Formats: sequence, structure tokens, C-alpha cells
Amino acid sequence: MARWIGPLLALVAVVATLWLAATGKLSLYIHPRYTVFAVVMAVLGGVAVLGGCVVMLRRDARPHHHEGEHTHAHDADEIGPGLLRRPRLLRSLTVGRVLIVVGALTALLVLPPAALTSATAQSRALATSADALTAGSPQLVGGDTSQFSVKDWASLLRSGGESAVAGKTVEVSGYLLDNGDADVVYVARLMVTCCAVDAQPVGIPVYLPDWAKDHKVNSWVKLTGRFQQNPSGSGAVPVVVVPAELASIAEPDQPYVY
Amino acid sequence: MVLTREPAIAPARRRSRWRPVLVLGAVLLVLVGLRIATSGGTVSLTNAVQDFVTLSLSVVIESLPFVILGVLISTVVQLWVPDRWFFAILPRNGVLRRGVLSLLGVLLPVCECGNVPLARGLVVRGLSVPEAMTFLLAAPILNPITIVTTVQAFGWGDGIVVWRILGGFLIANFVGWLLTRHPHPDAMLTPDFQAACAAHAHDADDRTHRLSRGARMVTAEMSAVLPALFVGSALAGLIQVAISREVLVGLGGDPVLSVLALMALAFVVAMCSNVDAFFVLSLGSTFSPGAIVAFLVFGPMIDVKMLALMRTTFTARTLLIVTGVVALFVAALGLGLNLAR
Repeated sequence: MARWIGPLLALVAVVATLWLAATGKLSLYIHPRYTVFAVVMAVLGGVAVLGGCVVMLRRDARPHHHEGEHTHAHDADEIGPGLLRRPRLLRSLTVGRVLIVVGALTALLVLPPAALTSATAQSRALATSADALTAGSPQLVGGDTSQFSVKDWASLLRSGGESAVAGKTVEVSGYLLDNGDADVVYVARLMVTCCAVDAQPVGIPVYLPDWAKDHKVNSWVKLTGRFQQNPSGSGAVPVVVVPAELASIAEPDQPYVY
Repeated sequence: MVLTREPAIAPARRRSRWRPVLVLGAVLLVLVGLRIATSGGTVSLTNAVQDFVTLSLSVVIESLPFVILGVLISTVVQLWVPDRWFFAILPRNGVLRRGVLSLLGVLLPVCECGNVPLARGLVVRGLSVPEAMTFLLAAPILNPITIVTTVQAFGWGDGIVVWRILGGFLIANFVGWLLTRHPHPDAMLTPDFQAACAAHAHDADDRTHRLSRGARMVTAEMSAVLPALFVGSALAGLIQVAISREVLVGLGGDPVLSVLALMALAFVVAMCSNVDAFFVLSLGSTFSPGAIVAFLVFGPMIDVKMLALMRTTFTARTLLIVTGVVALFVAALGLGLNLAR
């Protein structure tokens, strides 16, 4: 078991990675910039591991390959030195290995792939630093705003201020995020910089008096509207989107922004 | 006579030659079949369980390519790089030697998870424990990708980049020096790994084909590292779900608490050093510069996933000491920067 756990885990993870990449779902877990690297390494690793397994199986099949001290080396390979004298530890190690393999198999190959739920999203603070938002994104000022995502708008709002967005028409989708204002709700998405672990909500403020009465936090919406000065006169959020339409939608297949 | 016997043996041998390939093909088919058969289903887990799985998997899927790369480079270094070539570039003097090793990350900008198999390979090749530890601690910080992303995130202005590089280098080398004080450095390695090193020395006169030895080394290394990676990732995922990040991020401005809070955050998020600068920037709170430096120096050296991976090689006691010393020095660095402002 000890000798085979690595190849087994590697093959499980390689198959899972390649399948996710083939079905376009790898980006639920990692930033798309890593897709090519992940696929190339998965293929290389898979080939190397399969090659290693063939060599190991052939050596095991050969009747006389263990002679003299080699027999001892094989034992050490299998369970490690000293463990032969400690059967209870050996047993618990084996149980642990079986648990790891079963867990990996279940998580990687049985459960359907999934994005982070909004419950986790809600527990993380809104990203507000302009530098973090604009890092790696194309020139936004003067760009074609009809294709702008929640993240593009948020970073334009942060870096350019009110004047950069005022009067512009917005058409985005995202989930509703409560930022502690009764009249302003955020339409947000999770932004991933490396993998889902670092996901951080980015959002734009929407003017919707008493929004909590008609809308549920975390529900997905499609928003059409225009950036205007905040009608409530709140100094904290000077400019907001006043919605022309706010329609409920199902969670999209690709819920993150990058 | 020989001629008449030959055909009788050949088919049997051919069969046994190809049986492994058939077995592996069957295993692969089962794995792929399992994935395809279950892909249509929907499972409704509670949010916390679902997110635990998603977060753990994202750490595994993110780290796996780097681990594979590290294992492959480690194998190449062990089998194909000649001794004289390898040790010729390293100075003999201990301090200089560790200094050079801590810059090895410039040549091999692998993420920290990939460095563990590489460091194991280097120890097998004859590197001492303190030298390997210096490399492990320094390489994730002192590599071009990390430095470029840190500059992108913070610029040169407020000294964060400089202190990250300098702090990483000094702390890694100090810990390395400290470990040389140990009377029996090899005792800091796990018994299993010591045995593996001994087996390699014995293997050196193995006449079998280098490629097949390399393939066996890859699988052996996977068996050592991957279980640790999976356990470490699961722990990271579990902590993420169990502990509200708000608690740590909320301490942003305090000159003392913010340093400790961000070190704790670095420990639990277990993030690649290549991108952690953007992560801390996106947290949205206004952290003290000392806290940011502490996050950026501590995270690449020590986190929950790294400890699980390093445990394949070093004893728990060694890791405890290293973690304690690194934490103390990083905290001192962060607090010092905050006080000096």
C-alpha cells in the first residue's frame, strides 16, 4: 500500500485535472492563466507515474530480483524501518492511507465540481483597494463599457472616482451583497487571483431603498442601470447605480471574475 | 537445443511484460469511468461541507502542477546532474554556501510546494539538513516571479519589497546557521527519509537503466509527498471554513495585533508566494506596513500545507523549533517596521 499510494493519488488528481480542463470547469478552482501549466504538468506527471508503475510491476513480477540485502530494502520500501516492530502504528498508518485515498477519490472523482457558495462569499469583506482590482486588467478609462464586468466597474470606480463612471450605463450580473446600508446593496462577484482560496468579493453599489424587503442576500441578479449621484445623499457612497431593471437569474456556470 | 526452447519461453515472458500495462490501463479506465459516470449527478451538501471540499480541492489542484514539476526536477538533479558539476558551484564555507543556496530559487522559480521534493532530492545528493532548510525557507521569497508580483502590488516606495527580500534572506540564513549547531544534523530527518537516503547511496552502483530508475524515483517521491499535500490541503480548507477571516482582517490598523493577525492569516490560507502580494492587497483593510511584510515573509516559509509537506522529511521537533524561530523573527521584523515609522 505504502508504495502505491503516491501513484494512485497522482493518477486520481491527474485524471480529475484533465477532466476539469476538458469540460471547462478547471477555472472553478484556479485562475485561467494556470490552465495550460496545470494540463501540461498533469500530462507529464501522469506519464512519469505510469512509467514508474510499469517498472515497479515488472520488477515485482520478476522471480529472482530480490537477492541478499535487496529483500531487506524492499521491506523498508514498503513500510519503513522500525515499523515492523510496531504493528499497531503500522495498522493506523494503513488506515490513514486508505482514508486519504478514499477522501481524494470522493472529492476529486465522485462529487460534482462546484464553485464556492455565497455563504463563504458573504463572510469575506468587499475588496476595495484600487491596486488589487486593476492589477492585470486592461485599460479601463475610455474602454468599451458595454462589456464591462462587475470587477471592471468596481476598479474604474475606485481608480477614476465618480467622474469616470457618472452617467454611464451598466449591464452586469452578480449576487447581492449586504454592505451594511439599508438603501444601498452591492451587486458583487468573487474575484480569484490564484485559486478559489483567495476569492474576494468585488462589487458595485446599487441604490435600492429598503432592498432587504424584496431581495434576498446572495441571490443572483441581472442589473441594468445608470451610475448617478447617490440620491440618499450618503457621503460614504457618493455614486451608485440606479437600476432600470433588476431581474433574478440562476447562478451562472462561471460565477467568478479574474 | 537452445533454439528449440526459446519459443516456449518467449510468449510467457511477453505476456508478463505486457501485463503491467494492461493492469494500469484498467485502473485508468476505472478512474475515468468513475468521473464520467458521476459527473451528471447533483449532490446537495450543506454550504460549509461544500465549501470545505471546494477550498481543499482548489489548494490541491493549484499545488499539484508545482509538486509534479518539483518531483521531476528533483529526479533529474539526482540522476543526471554530475556530482562535480553540482558541488563545484557551491562555496565550501558554510555561511557562503547557505547564502548561495538561498538564491537557488532564482534559477528554479518553483512554488514552495515544489521546493519540498526538490529539497529532498538535494539532501539525497548530499546537501546537509541546515542547507536544505535554508533553501526551503528562502527560495519561495527570493525568486523572480515572487519579486515581480510583489513590486507590481506595492511598488518600491514604502520599502515592503525591500524588507520582504532582505527579511526572507536573513531569517532563512539565520535558521540555517542555528540548525548547524545541532550535534547530529541527520537526526533532524525522519527515520523513513534517512532510510531513503541510505538506499540511494546503495543504489548508486545500480546498473539498471537510468530512465527506469528515474520513473521509480518519481513514484516513490509521489508516495512520500502527495499524502502530505492532500492532508495539508484538507486542513487548510477546514480552517478556512471554520475560522471567520473577519476576525483576523478586522485587526488591520493596530501596530502590534495586525502583525500577529496577518501572520496567523498567512499560516491558515497556505497561499503560493507568487501571488500572495495581490491577495493581501485585495483584503481591503488598511494594514500597517509591518503587518504586510510579516504576512509576505512568514507565509512562504511556514503555513499549514508547508508543514504537512515538510513533515515528510523533517522530524516534528525540528519543525516546531524552526516554526518558533521563524515566527519570532518575523514578528520582530514586522513590529520593528511599525515602530520605526
